[in-house]
Amino acid sequence: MLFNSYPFFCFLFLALPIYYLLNPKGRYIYLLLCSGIFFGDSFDFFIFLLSVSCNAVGAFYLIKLRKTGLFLKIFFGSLVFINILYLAYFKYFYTGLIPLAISFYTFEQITYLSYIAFSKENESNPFSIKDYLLFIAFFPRLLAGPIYYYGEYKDKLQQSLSQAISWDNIGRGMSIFCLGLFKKVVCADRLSLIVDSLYSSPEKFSTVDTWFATLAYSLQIYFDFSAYSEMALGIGMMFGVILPLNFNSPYKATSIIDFWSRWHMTLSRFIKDYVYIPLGGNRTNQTGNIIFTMSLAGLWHGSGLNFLAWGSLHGILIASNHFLRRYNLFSNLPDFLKILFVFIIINTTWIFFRASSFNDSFQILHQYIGFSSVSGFHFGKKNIFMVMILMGIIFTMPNINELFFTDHFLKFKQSKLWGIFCLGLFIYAYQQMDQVAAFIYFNF
Amino acid sequence: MHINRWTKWQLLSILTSETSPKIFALFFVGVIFSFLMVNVCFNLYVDPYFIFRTSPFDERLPDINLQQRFAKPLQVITRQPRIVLIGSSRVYRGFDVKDDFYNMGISSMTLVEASSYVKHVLNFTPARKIVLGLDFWMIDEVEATKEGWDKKTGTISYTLKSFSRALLRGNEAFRVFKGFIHNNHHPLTEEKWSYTGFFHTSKRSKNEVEEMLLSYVKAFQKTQIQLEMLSYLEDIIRQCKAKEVELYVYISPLHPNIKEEYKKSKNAPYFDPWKDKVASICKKANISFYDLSNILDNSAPLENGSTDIWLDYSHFSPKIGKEILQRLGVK
Repeated sequence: MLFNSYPFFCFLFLALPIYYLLNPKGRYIYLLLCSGIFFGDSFDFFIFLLSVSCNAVGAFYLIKLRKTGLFLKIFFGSLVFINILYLAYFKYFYTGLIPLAISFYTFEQITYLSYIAFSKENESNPFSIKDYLLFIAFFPRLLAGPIYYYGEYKDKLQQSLSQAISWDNIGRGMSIFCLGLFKKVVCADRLSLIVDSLYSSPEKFSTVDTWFATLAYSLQIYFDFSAYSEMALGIGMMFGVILPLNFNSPYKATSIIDFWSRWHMTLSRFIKDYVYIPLGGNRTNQTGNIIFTMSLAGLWHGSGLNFLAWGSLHGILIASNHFLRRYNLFSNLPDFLKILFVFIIINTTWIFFRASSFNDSFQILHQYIGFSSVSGFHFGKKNIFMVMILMGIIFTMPNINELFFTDHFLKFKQSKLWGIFCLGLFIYAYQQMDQVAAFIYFNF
Repeated sequence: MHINRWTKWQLLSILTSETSPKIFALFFVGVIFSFLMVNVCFNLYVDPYFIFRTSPFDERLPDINLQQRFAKPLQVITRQPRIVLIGSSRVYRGFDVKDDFYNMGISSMTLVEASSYVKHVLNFTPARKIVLGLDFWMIDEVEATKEGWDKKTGTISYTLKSFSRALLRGNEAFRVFKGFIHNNHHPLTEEKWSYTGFFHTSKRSKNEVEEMLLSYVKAFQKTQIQLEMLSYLEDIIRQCKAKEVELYVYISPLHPNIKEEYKKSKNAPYFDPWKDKVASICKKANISFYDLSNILDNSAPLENGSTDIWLDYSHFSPKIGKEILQRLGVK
């Protein structure tokens, strides 16, 4: 079920009130049931349950090894390796469609195994199959994150089962959900029309068109993925769980390092904790570690050379950014110039990410730098207006974090004005939901 | 002036003042719930896909033509027929059925799609008989399925999704309602969908018939016949046998001009083997099979447009449809 679909609205309207009528034990079973219904028949339960049960068995033996202390790291490493192999098989060698959400639940299970193996908390008995199942199957975030850590969420999930109804969370959650729905249906899906036309037949477009459509893609991927994360956050809040934030105005970043601390924050954190630091982090061969880590992140998105190029480019850019920082170069530039410069770089690298092949990305890049046999502008005034408005929103407006969790002067209040605003966005987005489009990150 | 300014400030302070979280949340839920309910009621009343009503709100029913793959599987559930006809536009234009029949002809239906619609009918209707109309191009490997078809057709989840869309989606109902208000004074077109899924087609002029022939020929040139796709026919037979539903298979009558075009095409060598293979599959499974491709071989070219036998070179008239049902002995 997609968050931006009619069945989901019916599901949510039924699921939420029933949830709060149940006792903690009932809520636990009910949440698992809701997850099952939410995933429906598009979800490969066998592949999911196989992974979950193998990891549960692995966790059980990790606890035993933890007591003796022997081979703990080796066994933990083997379990992580098996998880990665499992993921890699389905991502790169499986002939059918990639099972939905496999990346995200694999990553979360790695955080779980790590908690079981090395956490100092609850050393006596950290393993609870009940907590584990709830952690892994909590439906709002399973399909495309945000990726959360078991150690940080096990108690929060348990508390949510016994807490009384929080009207504050429900009101806030619904408002965030409406904002997310609007971003997805009205912004991202409309931008996709511009983007798809360029990337399906680039040869028909001029340099100006190419710049415009790549700009539209930068906006589309942000609006699409942040919308999903916000809708997940909103739904989680309605059920009493505040999920981690995934975006923090990434295009306002003043450096590439800053960008990665604002973009897909939970994945960045996971990669840092489970790839970059185990490789040696900034202690040994920092540049190599960064490039390797980011290349791996690129390959995670897809097996094509273009993804590898995208990841490696980001690795090189981050490493260069560290170099510039070390020697304090360009640090005196005004922030708006830094933001502009970083945005142009990010916009360019998205070409590799969006193109269907390495060759296509080069053709688009070729046009992007001025070598196009076509001239003129083909996307119309309406689209220019839309892209300009969205650029304005991205660069000037506060994000969900600022609106809902800080003291920003525009911060959310449970007032009539906010209610009317969010409901207006919901109703407008609802009327545009003609063609339900899947979220971009479902592919990964 | 003072009052106005005071009123503005008062309004702003009312709008921006914080309410209790409970009132805010309940107001939010209440508005969204009411909005969804209004959509449901409006959809039930206007019924743009003619799913719930027994007579259409507006006989023009503009949306069904473009959304047959969405509307017809839902219609067949609300009609609950005893006998279902499945096939392409030759079926929905050719069989003016009544009572406990339902005409599930869908534009350019392929055999892959037919298999899923049979599954759908078997799962969600009490049908005891299924009549399957076959056309040569239904086993085109270039376009094995058409836009609007969902591979999950026939499953509970797809059906629930479709019903929720039919009830909750607001745009179509609004468009039909607006169209009805604006065009109410215009005479109704002769072409319309009936409750049983039949499409009443108006007579075509000579030019229209010629143009359509050209478009069929053009479409057929792109077709790549793949006899292996007849495995879907075997699948249909298996499904019907498993549910003990009687299956009738026939090959549609062809106009001599269309046959000529078939003979000229790259797919010509497959035409007779296709018929033979269909016959042998049906014979092996002990299924009633009728090759009706030659029954109208004496038809003359459509020099004055539609006749009482042919609507155009591809579609036979309901008169022939009636005769086919008699030949098949489907009652």
